[in-house]
Amino acid sequence: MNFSRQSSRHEAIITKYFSDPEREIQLKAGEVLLEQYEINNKLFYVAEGKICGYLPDKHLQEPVFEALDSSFVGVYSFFSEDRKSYSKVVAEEDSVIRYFDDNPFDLPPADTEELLTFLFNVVVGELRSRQHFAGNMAYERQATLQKLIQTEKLATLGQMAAGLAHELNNAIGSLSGNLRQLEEDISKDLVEGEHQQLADLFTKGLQEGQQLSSLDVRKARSKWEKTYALDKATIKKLTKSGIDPDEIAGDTVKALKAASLWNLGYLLHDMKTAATHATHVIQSVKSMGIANQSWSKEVKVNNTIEDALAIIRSLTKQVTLQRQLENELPDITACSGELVQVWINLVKNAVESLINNKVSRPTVQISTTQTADQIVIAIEDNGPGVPGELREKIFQPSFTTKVDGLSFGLGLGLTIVKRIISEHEGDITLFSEPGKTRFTVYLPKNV
Amino acid sequence: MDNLYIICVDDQQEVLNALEQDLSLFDEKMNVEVCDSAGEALELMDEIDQQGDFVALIISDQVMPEMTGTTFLAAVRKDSRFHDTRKMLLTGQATHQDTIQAINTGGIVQYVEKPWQKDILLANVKTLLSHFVMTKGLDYQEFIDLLDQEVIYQWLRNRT
Repeated sequence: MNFSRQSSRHEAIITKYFSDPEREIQLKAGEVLLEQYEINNKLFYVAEGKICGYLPDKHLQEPVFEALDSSFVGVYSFFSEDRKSYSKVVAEEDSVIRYFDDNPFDLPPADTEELLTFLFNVVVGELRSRQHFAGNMAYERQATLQKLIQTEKLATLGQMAAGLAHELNNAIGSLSGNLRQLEEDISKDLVEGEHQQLADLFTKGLQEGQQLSSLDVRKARSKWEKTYALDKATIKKLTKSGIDPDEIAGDTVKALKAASLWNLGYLLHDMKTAATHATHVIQSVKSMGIANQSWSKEVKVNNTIEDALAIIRSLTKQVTLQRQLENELPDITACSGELVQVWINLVKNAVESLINNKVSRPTVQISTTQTADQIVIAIEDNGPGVPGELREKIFQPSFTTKVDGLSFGLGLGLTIVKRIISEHEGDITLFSEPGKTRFTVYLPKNV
Repeated sequence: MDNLYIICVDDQQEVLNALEQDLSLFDEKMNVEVCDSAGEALELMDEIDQQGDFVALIISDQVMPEMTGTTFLAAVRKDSRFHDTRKMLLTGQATHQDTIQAINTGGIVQYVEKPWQKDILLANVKTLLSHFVMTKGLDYQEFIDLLDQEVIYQWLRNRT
C-alpha cells in the first residue's frame, strides 16, 4: 500500500515503531524475505525498494502483489491466526525493510490503541490495493485469452480452408482435364469436316461465349422466328449465337446444325469459365489460410486486394465497386494472408453498412497510392458514416459483435484489422462524415 | 390457348442458360423467358400483362446488383396484376434473415438451393404451375403433361 500523501501522524508512527536500526533488513534484488508457508511474526515496512509476492505452489509466473516503498508486507500473516505467509515474498529490487515484532498488546495502553488504529488502516488499505491488483490481473488475463481464442479460430479456419482447397482443387482439376479432352474430341469428331461456317460457329461459342444480354436476345429473336419454322429452344440458341439469320440463307437443316454447334461451344466455354473462377476463389481463400501465414519480403499489396475481392465477390455485387490501384507499387514485407483479411473486413463492413442503411447508388472505392516511405490503401464508401461517439470505440474488441448467418467467420472485425496492421508496423485511420466514410491504411515500404 | 410465362431472373448468364436448358420442356406449351436483372423482368412482365398473357411463375436469384431477389419479389407481390403469380427463390447464398424476409414480404412459396438438381427443380416448378393454373381457373387439360397430377386431383376434389 502506497501512501502518496503521508500525514505527519503516519510519519510519526513510522518513526516511533519502524526505525529501529536493530530491526532492519537489507535485501538484494532476488533475495527472499519470506518463503511460502513460513511462520512470520513480523510486520514489515518497505522503507526503500520493491517487494513482490509469488505463489510457487501454483506455478504462477505473475506476482500476486507488489509493495513499493512506504508500504507494508506480512500484513496477512502477522494478523492471521496460524501466522503462515501464504506467498513467497521476494525483493524485486535492492530494498531496505524495517520491521516490528512486538505484541502490540504488550505496549502501554495508549500506544496499543494508537498502533492498532494505525494498523487497522494499513490492513484495510492493503486489502483494497490487493483486490485492485487482482482485478487488473484478471482483466489482462481475459484480454490475452480473447486474443488466443481468435487466433485459434483463425488457425482452425486456415486449416479447414487448406483442406477444402486441396479437395476442391482435385475435383476441379479432374473436371477441367476432362473438359479439355472433350473439347479436343468434339473439335475433331464433330466439327472437322463440317462446312467452315459451322465450324467457325463452334469456335465462336467456345472462345467468346454468349455476348448478347438476355434483353438483346429477346429483341433479336423475332427475326429468327419469322425466317425459320423451328422449335423455340433452337431459335433461342441461334439468337444467342449472335449470327444473322441471313447468313444461314433459309436452310433449316443448316440452322439446326448451327444452333447445336454454337451451343456445344458455348457450353464448353461456360464450363471452362466456371472452372477458372472456382480455381481462383480457392486460391484466394488459401492465400489467407494457414498455408499462407508466413511473412515475405515480396508481397504485392494490389494482389492481396484482388484476392480479397475475389473471395467476397458475391457480396460486392450488391454495390458499385471502383478500383484505383496504382500499378507501380513496390513489394513490401508483409503476411499476405493477413492483409487479405484486412481488406475483406474493411470492404465487407463498407458493403454491409451501405446495404443495411439502404443507401441509394451504393459505392465502394478502393485505391492504392504511395508516398516516399509508405503504401497507402484507402477504402471509401458513400454510406451514412460512423457517428462521432463511436469513432473511438470502433477498434475496441467488444465493439464488433454482430454475427450474421453469412459471414462464416472470415471477418473477425476491426479489432483484428487493427492488430494485423500494428503487426505490420502500419497505421489505420478513419475519416467519417455523412456520405463519406474512409478507412486509410498505411503500410511501411521496405527499407 | 392461354399463354403462360415462366420468368427466370439471375445476373449470371451461365445460370440463366442452365436454367433455360433444364426448363426447356416447358417451352413447348408455355414460354420460358430469362432476364439478367430484376428491372428487365419487371418490364417484361408489363409487356406480358399488356398482351393479356399470364406470368405463372417467377424463379429469382437472391444476390443481384441493383435489386435483390427479395426486393424484386416484394414489388411483384404488391402488384395486383400478378397477385396469383407463384414465386420461387433460387439461390446459393441467402442468410436466415433473407429467407425470412423473402417469405414474409416477397410471398415466396418455394426455396431452392443452388446448385439445384434438375428433377427436384422440375417437380417444384410443376407443382407451382399447377397451383397457378387451378387458381386462375384455366384449362388444365391443355398443359396436363407439364403439371403435377396430384395437385390437380386435390384441387378437383376440393372443388366438388
